[in-house]
Amino acid sequence: MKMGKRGAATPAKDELDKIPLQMDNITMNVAENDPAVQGLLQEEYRRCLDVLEALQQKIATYPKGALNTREKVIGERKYFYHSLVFREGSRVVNQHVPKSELPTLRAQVEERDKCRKEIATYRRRIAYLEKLLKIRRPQKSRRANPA
Amino acid sequence: MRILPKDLFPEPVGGLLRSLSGVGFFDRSTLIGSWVMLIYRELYGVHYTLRTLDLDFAVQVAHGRARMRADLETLISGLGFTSFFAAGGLQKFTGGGYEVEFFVHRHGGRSEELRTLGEWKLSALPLPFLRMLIEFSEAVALDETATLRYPIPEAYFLHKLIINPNRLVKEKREKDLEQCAALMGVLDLEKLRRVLDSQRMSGKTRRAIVTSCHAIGFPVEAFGTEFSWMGH
Repeated sequence: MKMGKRGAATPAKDELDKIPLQMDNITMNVAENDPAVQGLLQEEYRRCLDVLEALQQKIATYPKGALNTREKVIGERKYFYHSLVFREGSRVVNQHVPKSELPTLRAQVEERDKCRKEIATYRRRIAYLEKLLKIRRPQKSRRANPA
Repeated sequence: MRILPKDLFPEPVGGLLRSLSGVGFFDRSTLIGSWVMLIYRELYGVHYTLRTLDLDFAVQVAHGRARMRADLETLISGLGFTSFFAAGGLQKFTGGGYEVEFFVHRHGGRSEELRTLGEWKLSALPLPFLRMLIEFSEAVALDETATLRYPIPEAYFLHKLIINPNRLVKEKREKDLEQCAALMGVLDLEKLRRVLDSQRMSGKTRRAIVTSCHAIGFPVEAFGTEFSWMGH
């Protein structure tokens, strides 16, 4: 396999862990020229899209919002009230969480956050791969259609 | 037993391998996929540096109803990975952008369904000829306490030759052949024949080997007289 250095410095090892395809002594130009590298990047791109879709499906099943605990002191005793705080349109909803449901909900929120972190990683990687592979995706317009 | 350098695997991968080793996963099961090439580079000086971010493992199923040895789902999730279900219902894990998948040997045709492994509390995808990688594998130390199992280069090479013509994705076919070409220089022909002799192969599989050999310029005669007539 022909692989040139193209004059760029070798990325640090921890940097290599973040890029979609792990290769030593290789730069963007090689990805454009070498069919094997190009193919691998394409494969990695497809894999990232699949994982992203699966993770988005998974995260949709988890509850929205954050867990909040309010402490109330009545007399000499302290009471803790747990609630799930989330947005519903323009208003903020405080939904009471019974103590019995708390461990399950906490686990779900933790798992959702882990998923969210992973989704962010895949989004970054997809953006990077699209740049490498010169793939253009239609941009979502932020403005409402004036018509 | 040789010890692999500590920084050979990036941290999420190294941590996962050490944890799997800790529960005895590598007593019989092995690491497969492009990460094995990294071990070959270290142990045999194979020059091949491309690898994708998916970590594949071939699981040896001793008994369909074996009692649970370790809950790998909880173990892997505890390492910061999150599980998800890919198309077809296969359970996979992802963490730090790395994807973890498990495979088992497929006995029958393509219609064979996902296998639930009670021994490890996992589901795995059956693939053909995986037993070859598990049976012809070696152990290498990750550190003073953990060991990792990987297929010997001859088994990895032959497996790639077999599966390559049946790959649906062109890029994967090319990657397989690149890996085979990189391994050609370190193969022990005696071992290669031993791996080959251990397999029952159809005419179609033999033809697949010959096709792949031609693609990388590997002499078919190395597999013995049975193959040499097919090379012409």
